[in-house]
Amino acid sequence: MKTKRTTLIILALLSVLFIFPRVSAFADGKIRALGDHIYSICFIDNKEGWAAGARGSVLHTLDGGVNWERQDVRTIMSLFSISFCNPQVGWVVGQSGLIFHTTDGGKTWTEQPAPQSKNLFAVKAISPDKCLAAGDWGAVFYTGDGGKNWDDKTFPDDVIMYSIAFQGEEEGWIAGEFGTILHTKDGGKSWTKQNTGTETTLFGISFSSKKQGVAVGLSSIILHTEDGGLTWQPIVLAVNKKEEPRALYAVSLQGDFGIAVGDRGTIITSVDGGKTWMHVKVSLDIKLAWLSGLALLGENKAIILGMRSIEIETEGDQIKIVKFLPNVQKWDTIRKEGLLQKEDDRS
Amino acid sequence: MTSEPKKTIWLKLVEYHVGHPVLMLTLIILGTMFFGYKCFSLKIHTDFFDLYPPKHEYIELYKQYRKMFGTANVMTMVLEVKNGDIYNVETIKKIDRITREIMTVKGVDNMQITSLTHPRLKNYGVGSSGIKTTPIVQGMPKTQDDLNIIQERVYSNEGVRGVYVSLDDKAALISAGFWEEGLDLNNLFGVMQKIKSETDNANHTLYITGYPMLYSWIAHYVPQLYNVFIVTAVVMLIMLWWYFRSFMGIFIPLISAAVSAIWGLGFAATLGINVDPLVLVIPLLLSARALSHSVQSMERYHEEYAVVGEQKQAIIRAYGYLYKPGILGLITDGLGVLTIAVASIPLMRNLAIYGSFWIISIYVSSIVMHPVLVSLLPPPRAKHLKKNELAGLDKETEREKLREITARPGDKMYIKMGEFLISLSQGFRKWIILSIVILIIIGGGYITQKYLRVGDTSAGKAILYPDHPYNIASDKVNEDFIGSSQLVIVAEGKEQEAIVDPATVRIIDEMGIYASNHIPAVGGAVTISDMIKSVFRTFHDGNPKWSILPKRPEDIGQMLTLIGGATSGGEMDRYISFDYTNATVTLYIREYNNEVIKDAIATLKQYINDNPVKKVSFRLAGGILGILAAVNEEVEWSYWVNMALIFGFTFLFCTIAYRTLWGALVLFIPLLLSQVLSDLLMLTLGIDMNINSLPIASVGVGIGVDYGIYILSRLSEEYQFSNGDYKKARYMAITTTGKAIIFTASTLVVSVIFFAFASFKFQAEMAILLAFLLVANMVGALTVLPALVSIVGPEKILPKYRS
Repeated sequence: MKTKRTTLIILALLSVLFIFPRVSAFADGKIRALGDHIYSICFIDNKEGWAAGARGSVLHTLDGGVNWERQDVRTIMSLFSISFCNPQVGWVVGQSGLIFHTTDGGKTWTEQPAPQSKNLFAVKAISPDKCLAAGDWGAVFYTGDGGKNWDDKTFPDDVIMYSIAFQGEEEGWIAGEFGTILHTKDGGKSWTKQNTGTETTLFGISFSSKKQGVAVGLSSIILHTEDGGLTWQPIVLAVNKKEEPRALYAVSLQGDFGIAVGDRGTIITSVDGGKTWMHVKVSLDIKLAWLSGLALLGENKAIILGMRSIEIETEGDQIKIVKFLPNVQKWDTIRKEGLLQKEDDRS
Repeated sequence: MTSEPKKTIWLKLVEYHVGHPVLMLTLIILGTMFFGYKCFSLKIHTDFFDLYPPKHEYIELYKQYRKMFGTANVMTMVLEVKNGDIYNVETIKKIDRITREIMTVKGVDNMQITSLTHPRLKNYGVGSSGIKTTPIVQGMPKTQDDLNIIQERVYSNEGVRGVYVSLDDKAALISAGFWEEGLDLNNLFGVMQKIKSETDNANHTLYITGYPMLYSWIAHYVPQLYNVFIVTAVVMLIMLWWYFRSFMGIFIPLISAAVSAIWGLGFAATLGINVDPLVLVIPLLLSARALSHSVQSMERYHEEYAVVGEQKQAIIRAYGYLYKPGILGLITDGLGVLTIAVASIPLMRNLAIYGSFWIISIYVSSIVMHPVLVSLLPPPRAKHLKKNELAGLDKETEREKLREITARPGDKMYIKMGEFLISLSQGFRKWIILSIVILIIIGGGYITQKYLRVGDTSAGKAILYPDHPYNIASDKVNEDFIGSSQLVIVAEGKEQEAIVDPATVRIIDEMGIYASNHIPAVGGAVTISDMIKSVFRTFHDGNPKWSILPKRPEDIGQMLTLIGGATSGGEMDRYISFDYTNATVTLYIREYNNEVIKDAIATLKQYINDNPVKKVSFRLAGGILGILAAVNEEVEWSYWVNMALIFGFTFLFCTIAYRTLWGALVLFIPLLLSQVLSDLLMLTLGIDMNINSLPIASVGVGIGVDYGIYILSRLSEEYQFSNGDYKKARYMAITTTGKAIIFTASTLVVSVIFFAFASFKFQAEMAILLAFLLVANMVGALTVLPALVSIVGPEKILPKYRS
């Protein structure tokens, strides 16, 4: 594994011969630096949702993603995951063990101390009192009192945990590095490792019921289960042989319908509960972007965020991209109005 | 009038010059031959380092680190297609050909050439077998599939689209840096025009912009300026003939102007100073100054000859009277030009040195050589008084008679103008004049102080017309790309490997983000932190969430070592020094002007103050915008110091020379008035006070001094002749010396006005400004000055002047 990683690093370094400023297109046709860089999205219903991303961004929408407003979290560090259990209570986690909590729908966010300052890549608000966060070095933190106290449930192995899925308040799964999937039946108090049969990193996990679930990850790996994770079946995704398989960063499964998104504009869909998947052909505009946040809104609509933000619709097994969401991109402008200044004050 | 003038030192000097014609002419000819020989080695071109103030902190920074983070002189080319997009075989081949041809241009820094087809532009992806890097264009495309692959690579790379390919796919950008010392502007212009002609067709247009191209355009226009000089000289000849109607009237002023020009330019060549094409209007003005002194002398010589009817006596009287005002004028002019040297910009310093020497040489060519030459030529064929013709006439009739006899056919127009100007300074009108003068000086002074901008709006727009291909190209770059102009901040380590410290890298990273968010003109930012994040991400399976900075120094150090090892020598120098002690924050800025640069620097300074870091100190500001900021800062302070010094010297010397504060004041006020008026004109026309326009404005002030000194000297003479009748003295002064001033001013206006037709917007604007300044100074000397003398009281000023 180490040899493989070293090779990977050396090859990766060759790519750093020339680095450029990041650029994205704005609705007004002007070009400005930096794209959306949204990592996580969560909707409480078909209208109200939140998104979190690079440089301390938290965005809020009340109209299904048409308009977004920025919420002040008083950090410029990256926020990797956001989760709400109801319209009022939610958590957002990020770089260096950052945990922020809100009880008023995000109007005010309060920082909560994490047991360790590990990067936290996933959070799941199970109830107003219960929440789980997971991250690197096997970090798993649990609170049962609305975040007043966070218990350190860190997994003993050096594994990076990337995604959390729950069905009800008790049963849940965490997916991460080296094909790791952890399972709990007691709301996160204790965990057992499931056998996935792979060492490939898993970035996303989603369950449509206590039995049926999907995990996705590096090299377009897709694992499917129909028994709550007792057994995981690898799903072969048809790929262009000329291209390297691309990473899938997030997945969402509702009933039989599922979408997974990933690197270089990859969007795949399933209409049979995750057993088979097919590629969605995207325009070159989206190929520019990595996609890492995804929310299904109703039966045929999804919002996908990442380096760029899009809204898609499905008709049967067909999918079409309805529009780009230029309003999301305004967050960069909105940020100018106060966040960094406040961050400066704090520092 | 016919009485012998008092034997002043000035008269004795003239007698000495005229009494030793061989010695004088031999010395002058030898000097002229020496400087004439030197003129052959004179270089008229732009030296980039001459534009930079060497002691300015930004320039010191640039010079210290330029070999590390590259030259600031970057040329940017945009290849645009009219129909379709750039993803076709012909266009890609054109981009490749341009890229290859640029590599062979003299002075280019090959490490700073980048384009879509350059192998340095790479793409990478994360997969199970690792990361695969491939050039965006891997071999020339042959099929549609090949083109599709290129397009997909462009679309998949954050650093290419919007930077090297426009978002609408209709334009591609090629950039190349040039070292200041290696660049041959004429060669560059030729090569670029050849590339453009080979590239342009019905569907392709190549746009070229950036500093190297701007100055190669200027070099290209130099021969056109020579044509302007020739036309100007011909028109001046005609005007001289019209005025004097004699061979001597044309020959003597022209030879004076030519000798001083040879001395001035030869002196520059002797010191190894090159003349910048943008300030070529100054040599013309300085020549015109020699011409102006010469015309005054010729005018007076004709007058005195008409009176005394004997050549040698007429020469000694005429040049004796003019020696003092001539010397005073030259000293104040010379010092005025020398004060330009307060700015530390070599271009301005050099101009001050050879410009002031040039003015000193006017002493040789006009004051010394002139009477000698005149003495060797036959006397004028003009009428003169017969013996005892003035006997028995009262002084008033005597002066009138003199004026009549010295009148030439070409005079009428100038005398009419003089009479009109006199009418403005008479009776109650003098109070109106005074009120207007006060209003303009106070009101206009306030407005110009508040609104006159120092520094270029943008270099290209200040020098060339908006529809010039260079400016169209600049607009194209700004519209379609994130901007080609860089502002560089250097994080200078206080200890070895300072950049490895996580807090340092974090602040470098945040500075880039902060600048992107807080400075509207910033199109993007690049720092070593971007590369560290990028590698850190690949360490973690390429997950974008890992685009963060490591928290441990050993992780940062490990990544920097690997980055250094994976790149060829010097490739990373633009972002971090090889020993990890220094690093840069590079901001890409577009559509900049002086205000934008100043605001950007102020914002960055504030950020640096608010965010102290232990291991590094941040130094501003490199890149082309740092250089511009340095130049603008230097011009800004030196402009006011320069103006204060010119006015101060003028006031001081006039006070010392004539021993009356009132006299200095009446000379000073018209000068101040014309300066405020010219500032107002600059404001109205949107002309910026920049490195090129400042010296021109300084020279313009000197012209006003000349006019005032000549008219005040004549007024005091005539005041004595008219027995204290100021009205008559004023009339005589303005219709004699004033007439010559009007002629000189109109000649000078003609000498500069042809620049209004030059391809340079800057030259045209300067021509308009100078023409205005000349007319304003003329009106000031002939209207405001006599009005002020009248208000203050001629008896307080004129007798003292006479003494």
